[in-house]
Amino acid sequence: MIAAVPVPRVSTDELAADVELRDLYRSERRSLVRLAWLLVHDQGVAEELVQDAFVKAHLAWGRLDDPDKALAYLRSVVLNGARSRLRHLRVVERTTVPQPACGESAETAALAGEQRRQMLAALAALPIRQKECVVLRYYCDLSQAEIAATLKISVGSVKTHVHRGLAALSALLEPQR
Amino acid sequence: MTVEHELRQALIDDASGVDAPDRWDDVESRVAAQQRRRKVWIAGLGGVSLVAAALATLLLLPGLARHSPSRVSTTASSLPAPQPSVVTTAPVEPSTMVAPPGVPTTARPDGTLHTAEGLQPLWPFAGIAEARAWQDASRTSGAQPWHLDADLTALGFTQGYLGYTEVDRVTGHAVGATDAQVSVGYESEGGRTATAAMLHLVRFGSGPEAPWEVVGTNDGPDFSLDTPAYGASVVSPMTVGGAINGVDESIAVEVHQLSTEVPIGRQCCVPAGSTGIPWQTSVSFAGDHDRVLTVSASTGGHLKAVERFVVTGVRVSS
Repeated sequence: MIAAVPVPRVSTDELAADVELRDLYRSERRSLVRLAWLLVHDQGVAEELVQDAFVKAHLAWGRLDDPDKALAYLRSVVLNGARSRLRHLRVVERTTVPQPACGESAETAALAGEQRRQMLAALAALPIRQKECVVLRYYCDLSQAEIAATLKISVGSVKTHVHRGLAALSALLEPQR
Repeated sequence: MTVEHELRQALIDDASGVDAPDRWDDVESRVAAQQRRRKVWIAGLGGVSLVAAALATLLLLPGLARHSPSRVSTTASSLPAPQPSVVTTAPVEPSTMVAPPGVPTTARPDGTLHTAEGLQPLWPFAGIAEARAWQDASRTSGAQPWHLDADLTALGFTQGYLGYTEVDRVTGHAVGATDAQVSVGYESEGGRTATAAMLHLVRFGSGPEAPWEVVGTNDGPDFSLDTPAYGASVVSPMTVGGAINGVDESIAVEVHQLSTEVPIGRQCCVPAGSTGIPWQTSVSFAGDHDRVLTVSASTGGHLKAVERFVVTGVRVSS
């Protein structure tokens, strides 16, 4: 062979991507958008992260080791995107003059329990990796092994991040109770 | 009520109001646009290379008559885009690669210096016969002129052979008459450019019409692949390792060969981190037909799937 330059994928891959990914999109997009929302707290950004993830999965379909792991791949891409977004926002926050935050409406505040608001505020203060592990564990109900595979870190690291995350949440919530 | 229970309930409550409209049409249209851009990129690559080849041909025209008749068994066409073409299956002849006079060309972290005789041909040619076949085809039909461009060869290796598609730009290069160091990378935060690896290429053959061949990476202290040693004979499973500086790193190892489109071995992922900490794993491979294999190790996941990578060339024990 003269050169193993990128060979266009055969159409069967594209067909499979169309059919299987479309089904996955219809069944899982809401849970993925919600996962992204819990990390970035912006509906538009959360939707775009999930759209981006499906575009990437479509283009990479022929390279996926196991199409059954497509959902794990999508979660991983969404988390990478959310992480990147959060890092960007932190840079922006450091370089811009703080603006008064838009508070929740009276109605929303009334509906949301005080405990929930405190918990979410504490969660927002966690380091990115701890927040990801905690959300995957307690919102997506993933096992430690599944979280490790999604984030491409060791199970030991997952245990550490979850443990530290919970400890930090307890510490942050304690003075308010 | 435990913190875990409160947390779970808060997350469920918080996310429950979030809806996600069906925008599959948007996904499909973006995929189609990306695929169109890919084709344009490949065509552009071919176009740029054609110009380079035309210039090279003009400069070298007087010398062409000296060359032997074509040895191509299947003549490559003058397609604008790089296409795989079957030619000969000659054995690997790494000793024909040329290094700068008196300068060993691959410096590795252990200080070992590899002379031209020790270089492993990783991509795109398996041996000198293939490189000569391309040269012959190039003279007659202008096929795949990108082989004369070290930058395009480096990007083709990274994206096409290793599959690191997000590593999509050349971040620096030093191209000499017979060897080249080409750094490849990606756009980082704030529009900055980050380097993922520095590839080492050499001219496969002699003269400016000799095509470029990737022979390895120049590994730095931040990420290295020292085991197996460059040029070592290996069997499956093999131990792969090196050293890394970083935080929350997750190293994926793959084994590639030219005759197969997909990796023939993969091990993912090895957690690693801290400063100069050794990393090591065992990777199995099957279906090895080629004499030279490329072992790649990559890490990323913070900004891009692959943010740093290193490769080494090994030979299959017969």
